[in-house]
This record gives sequence, C-alpha cells and structure tokens, in this order.
Amino acid sequence: MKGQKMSQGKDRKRDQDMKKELFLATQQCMACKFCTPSCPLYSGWLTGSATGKMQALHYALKQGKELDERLRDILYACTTCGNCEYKCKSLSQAVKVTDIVKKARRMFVKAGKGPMPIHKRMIESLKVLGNPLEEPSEKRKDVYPSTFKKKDHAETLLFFGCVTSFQDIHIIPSMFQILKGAEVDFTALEAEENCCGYIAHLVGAEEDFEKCKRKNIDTILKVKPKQWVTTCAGCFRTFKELYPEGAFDGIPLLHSVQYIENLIKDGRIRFKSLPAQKVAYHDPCDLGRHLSVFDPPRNILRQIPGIELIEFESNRYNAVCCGGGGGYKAVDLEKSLEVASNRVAAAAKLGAGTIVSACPSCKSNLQVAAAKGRKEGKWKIQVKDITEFVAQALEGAQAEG
Amino acid sequence: MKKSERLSVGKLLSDLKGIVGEAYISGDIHERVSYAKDPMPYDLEEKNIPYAVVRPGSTQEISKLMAYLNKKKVPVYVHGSGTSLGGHSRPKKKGVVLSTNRLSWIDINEDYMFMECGGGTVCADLMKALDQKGYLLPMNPGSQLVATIGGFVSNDSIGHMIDVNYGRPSHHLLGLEVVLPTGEIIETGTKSLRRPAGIELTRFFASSEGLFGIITKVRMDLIKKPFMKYVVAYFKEPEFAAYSFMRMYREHIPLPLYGEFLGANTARVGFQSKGLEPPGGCVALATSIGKSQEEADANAEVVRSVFEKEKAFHSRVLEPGDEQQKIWAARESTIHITQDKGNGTTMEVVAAIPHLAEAMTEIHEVSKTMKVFKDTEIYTFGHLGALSLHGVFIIPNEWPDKKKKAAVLEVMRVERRLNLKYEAAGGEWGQMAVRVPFFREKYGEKAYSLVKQMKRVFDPNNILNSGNVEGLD
Repeated sequence: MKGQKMSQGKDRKRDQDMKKELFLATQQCMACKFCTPSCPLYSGWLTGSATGKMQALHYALKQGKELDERLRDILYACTTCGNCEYKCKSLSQAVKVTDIVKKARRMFVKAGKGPMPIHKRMIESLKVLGNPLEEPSEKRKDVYPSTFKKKDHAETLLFFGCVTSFQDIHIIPSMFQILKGAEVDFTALEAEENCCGYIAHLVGAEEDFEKCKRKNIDTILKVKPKQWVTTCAGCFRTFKELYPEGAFDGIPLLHSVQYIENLIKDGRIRFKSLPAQKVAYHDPCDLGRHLSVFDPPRNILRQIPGIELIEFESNRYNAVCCGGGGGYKAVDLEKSLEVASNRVAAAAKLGAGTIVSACPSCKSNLQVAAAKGRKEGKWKIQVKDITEFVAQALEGAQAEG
Repeated sequence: MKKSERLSVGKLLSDLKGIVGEAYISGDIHERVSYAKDPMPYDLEEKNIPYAVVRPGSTQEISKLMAYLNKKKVPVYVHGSGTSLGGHSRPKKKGVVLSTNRLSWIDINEDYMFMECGGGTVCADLMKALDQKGYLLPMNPGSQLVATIGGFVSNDSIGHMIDVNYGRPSHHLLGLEVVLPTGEIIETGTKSLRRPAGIELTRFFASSEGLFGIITKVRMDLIKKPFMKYVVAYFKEPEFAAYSFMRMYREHIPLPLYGEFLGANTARVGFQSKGLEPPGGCVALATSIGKSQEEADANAEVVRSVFEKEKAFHSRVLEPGDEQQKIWAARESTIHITQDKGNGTTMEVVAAIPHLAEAMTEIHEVSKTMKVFKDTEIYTFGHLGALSLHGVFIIPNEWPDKKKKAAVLEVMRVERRLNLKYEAAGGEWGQMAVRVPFFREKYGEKAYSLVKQMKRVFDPNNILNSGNVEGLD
C-alpha cells in the first residue's frame, strides 16, 4: 500500500515536471507566425500551424484545466515533418515543435485521453501482431522471392519495416535483386521482423515503444551481422535516434541509399542505360530534414544512365512533407492525400515523369495521390522507390515494360 | 458568465455563421487564443480573448460582417497575419477577430501598368509574382514571409528600404477598395497612372493603421526592378557606420536601396548562426541599385569607398551567391536569433541626419540608464541608411507578466525620449497602440484629438481595432 502510494506520488511528480517542461518550451514561441506557410497541413486556421499549436497548448497548461478532446485533435493533426522547426531554426534558436508535440501527445496518453481512436487500434495490433497494420506476421514474407532461404547469420541483414512488408510489392524484391547482383552475403528476418515502434513513439504510446525496442535489440543481436540495412526512412531514424546509444553493439545501420551508394563506389554494381526520363527526388522528412541524408540518393540517381535528376522547388531541408508522417495519415486520410497531391502537382509542373523517394510511407502516399490525378487526367506521373530504379537499371536485369 | 451573456454569445456566433458559413467561423477556445496572442513579449490578456474568429472570403462578406458588428457594437480586430511588433493586432477588448487571409489573389495588368491584389495577399507571394515579371514591390518588411499587403499598406511602411529611392507604398498606390467600419464599401483612386490631385481618400486609408477601414483590394503601379549590387563593411566603432551614411546623404551619393546595420554582438550571433566567420566588429550592408548592372556596380563601388573613408577595417563588394545570401539572412534573422533566452521587445529610434552618429552612440549605451535592463546586453541593428536604429531588449521567459509589460513600457518611454531628442519619429509598426504617448508628446494634444475625431468620423462606434488610438498605458 505504501509502495503504491509512493509510485503514484512519483507518477504525479513526473506529470507535473512534464507539464512544466512543456509550459516553458511553448513559451519560447514568440508568435511571430513566420512558420505558418511551412506547415503542409496549414489551411488558414492558426491551430493548423505550429504557432497555433504552441499557443493553444501553452494557454491550456497555464490554465491547468482538464485536457480536452479538441486540443488532442489539434496536437494529433501534425505530421511531425519538422518543416516549421527548420523555418524557426533558420531564424532563431528554434522552438522544438516536433518534440513538444510528441511530448504533449504522451501527456494525453498518460492522462488516458490519447492517442486518437485509430491509433489505439494500431497500438493494439502492434502489441499482438508486432505491426500496427493488423496483419499476421507470416505475411511479411509474401513478396520475398521463392528462392530466398533465411540464414541465422550473414554479413548484411535487411530490415524492411511494416509499410514495406505489408503494403508494397516492389521494394523487397528490388532490394533482394540488388544485393544478389552485388554478390552480397545477406539475410532478412521474414516473420521474425517486428515493428521498430516508431508509430508508438509518434502517438505518445511510449511504454509500447519500449517493448518494441527490447524485441528488436534481441533480434538484431541474435543475427549479429556486420551491418544492417533498412529501406524505410522511419525505421532508420527510429533505430538511429530513438534507441539507446550502443544498443546494437556497434553494428552499423545504413539506410538503403547509403548502402547502395557504397556498392556503386566499390564497383559491385553497374548500371545499364534506362529509357530517357526526368525524375524528381522527394526527400523523406525522416531521412532528409531530420538526419541530413541528402546526397546519397541523388548520387545514385545521377549514376544511372538515362535519368535526368530534377529538383523540387522545395527540396532538402525545405522539402515539403508527403502528408503521411506523424501518424497523421491514419487520422485524416483525405487531408493527407491532399498534401500528397500538392507534392505530386509540384513535380508534374517541373515536367517529371517519375517521383522517386527512399521511404515506403512517402511512396505509398504519393503513389495514391499520383494515381488519383492520373485517373482524373491531371498528369501521367509515376511514383517509385529508389531501390526499384536501381534494380531495373542493374546490368543483366530484365528490361521493364 | 451570466446566462443572458451566454445566450448573446451563442446568438453572435450563429449570426456570424450565417454570414461567412460554418467552415469559416470558430468559437473554439484554442483557436481564439492563437489569434489573441501576438509577438508582444507578455502573455495575452484573458479578458480580451475574442468570442470568435471569422475568415470571410469576399469584400461583400466583410461588408455584411461590419454592418452587423457595428449595429451590435462588437469590437473587431483585423488579423492580416498578426505580425505587428507594436501591439496593433492584439485584441484590446473582447470582440471578434477578422482574418483577411482568404482575400489572397494577384492580378498583374501590364496594359494598365498596375497590379491589383487582395488585401490578404502575403507580401512574399506578391514579391515573387512581381519578380517573375521583372517588377519590384516597393516595400520590404522583415515579416514578408507572412505579412499581408493590407496590413502593410494600412501602415504605409516600407520596412528596410531607404525612403529616398521609391518612397512609401502611398507613393505607388493608385487606388484601394475599403470596407468601412459601418459596412459600406468604397473605392478610392484611379486606374490611370496619373493620380488624382487634391483630396484623395487613398492616402487617408494608406496610413490609418487600420483605424478607418479594412483594405480589401490594393492597386499599385508597376515598378521596373533595378539592377543590384551588394556591399559589406566591418567597423570597430558603430559611429563610423553612421558617419558613412551621413556622408552619402550630404555628398548626394546615389543612396542604396538598403543600408543595413548590425551591432557587434548582433553580427556575431547572426553570422555564427549562418555558419559565417564572426566579423569582429559591427557590420554595414548596402544594396546599390542602377538602371543597368554597370550603373549598380559603379554605385556599389562608390558606397564601398565611402565605408573605407569612414574607417571600415574591411569592406568589399559582394557577388550574388551563397555568402551574400548568408550575410543577408544573418541580418534578416536578427530579431529572432537574439531571443534564445526570452522574447524580446524592440525599440525603433530614428534620427535626423545630423544626429545619426550621436543616436548610434546613445542606443548602444541606453540600457545603462534603464531600471529593468540596467545589467542587460541589448542587441542593436537597424536600417541605418534609412536613419533608423533598433535595440532588442530580451525579456526573460521566467519574468512574471506584470514585469514583462512594465519592461515593454520602459522601452517605449526611452524610445520616446530618443525620437524626440533626435527630431524624428519612425513608426514602421505604427504610431498608435504602444506609441500613443510619443504621438501626444511629439505632436501635441490638439493633433491627438484630431486623430480621435477622425476615427469617430469613420468609425462612430469605435469598433474597428478599438483601443489602438487609446494606447496601452
């Protein structure tokens, strides 16, 4: 009984500390509103922008009133793309907007008032099935080539992530083809792969994220590869930034763009010419703005004969989000696709035939928007992951129709 | 809140909804709070949190809103983008915030040689559209990314530009469409480049700080974009940067479009934030212009030689590119970059030409004479070529709100004293709201009374941006 009271006391103290931290952090926003145009979701109401979120949260904390559902909705209407933060940083010491939003979401979860109902379903699925998409684990190997034989140990371990595994049919075969072409000793986890936990972290379900961490650390250390590679920008950022330092015993993690660039530099893969085409590279927020990985994908595309790489007007640190991040796509699919459509339209305006990205979530969202626009006769643009281009251009690969 | 009041708020919201439609009105507390907070460094006043925020989509809707709100005597605060550093956009009474951000459109008409745009058009969008056709917007607010043309024209500000080149927006306005506080719509001006002489209402609205009406459409002449060349100079003593511009005026040297200044500490943090080597002193920046690149280059060289004559320890003409952009970005981010430990309040001191160097000395030492900021480092910068200087005073976040407000008022008192002493006014953020005491002292009670009478003529119920004429203290 005494122990229980002490634990409750500690919890209360933690909550108070968190509220104080958020109160001070939001106070840093001077309400200059310079960030508003950078938010992909801003549509004219200030709470749809970072400054509005900061002011609303600050006032609510100042009032010390019960957290309400409307404030929850405001805070979950954010892709955590960090564009606002970058804009703020380009002017000042920067209000830590994405960090504040994530911590505020955690506060809602702690209070039993978050996350959003759809996120609760996703987290439940994560707990039971090891992925937030309500898919059986066995389905992860559906698009693995039939010739693939899982090994207990290999030089390179591939980690695909949930969106690639369950919602994409091209990235996994492409990656296998590339590594096979480069004669790499590799393996992948098949059904043993577990969600990296990013979605739990994003929506504030921190305890569930901790469980994911433990599972993944055990799995990777069991294989003990020389390096491991992921095709997912979200997984990459999660393992790099959100797992404890040294958790993987120093086994280096690379994003597929870094790994493929190394294979090219080492002369392990060579390209044939592809039909002449203009390709616009979309920087995924998790890979680009958050981790500053900009050049490897561009270097790869420049190495493929026939491809003319063109840049979005907003690129690199200024790149506009695809609309799918931060758990937002699950909250408002229509708005998320509207954001993606804007991005596709920007590429179409540049005359791009294809948008290429290095994140399955970006690809998925942009692809749906592109297909919708194609159906409506707006453009003919296609969306691909960079691994698909590389696989298609490999010397000895079958030409695609 | 009493039951009767609750009902009246409900009725107000329902009536407003009838005018703008459900999608464009919000009575949500979080939205209302967001619109009530402006960049002033103290918190919003709870009693003034608006009942609602409305975002009308047309002049007609604004007209209906104003007619209704005037009849009901409900205060209205116009929100272009809410960037005023002088407290203009902060509600002073409980009322309704009216956002103009749906009035955003641009039409460049090269047959008539003018452009028209909606009052809610963002300056940066307008600049970009004009630039693509080779034209210049004759104003450059620091807040151009979000500031709206309606707000800027209402204040007749040019931001960083030096006045003698293109004058103020009012010098380029051909006409306006304005909704009066009582709801009527009026058109002013002409479609000809020959402007009306005599009494012409355009100029009344173009500097009325939003007290007389809401600007819903702007028509301005097209200005051919000049060729430009950039100069940078470093000085050990800030006074010599001032002497440089005093000399340019006296010797009738072609004045640059911009003549900016960064105090030594401001330059240090600004340059560092952009990855540049700190200059080791204060910085003067100039953008010389010409009708040809050769002319701009030659003018830049003359400006550089003036800096050199006035003891700049380093001066050079900058080629357009990365370094030039970074130096300008360091200047543009001054107000923000200095505010890592708290929000700041910024003083605007303008001097007549003979006083510029003295004003420069005093602004650097002024904090020593102040109660609240006695031991505080202030950051200086300014539009030195436009004879305008700023001091940013950092107000720590942990100070209580009362102390923060007192600090703002102290800064305004010192600003008032310096502007009077140096025979100038300034007022790029407007003359009313926080500056009312200055206006009264500078121009006298009769002049102030005339402003109030004019306000009553346009706005008999004092509903539009109410409280700004009365001032903060």
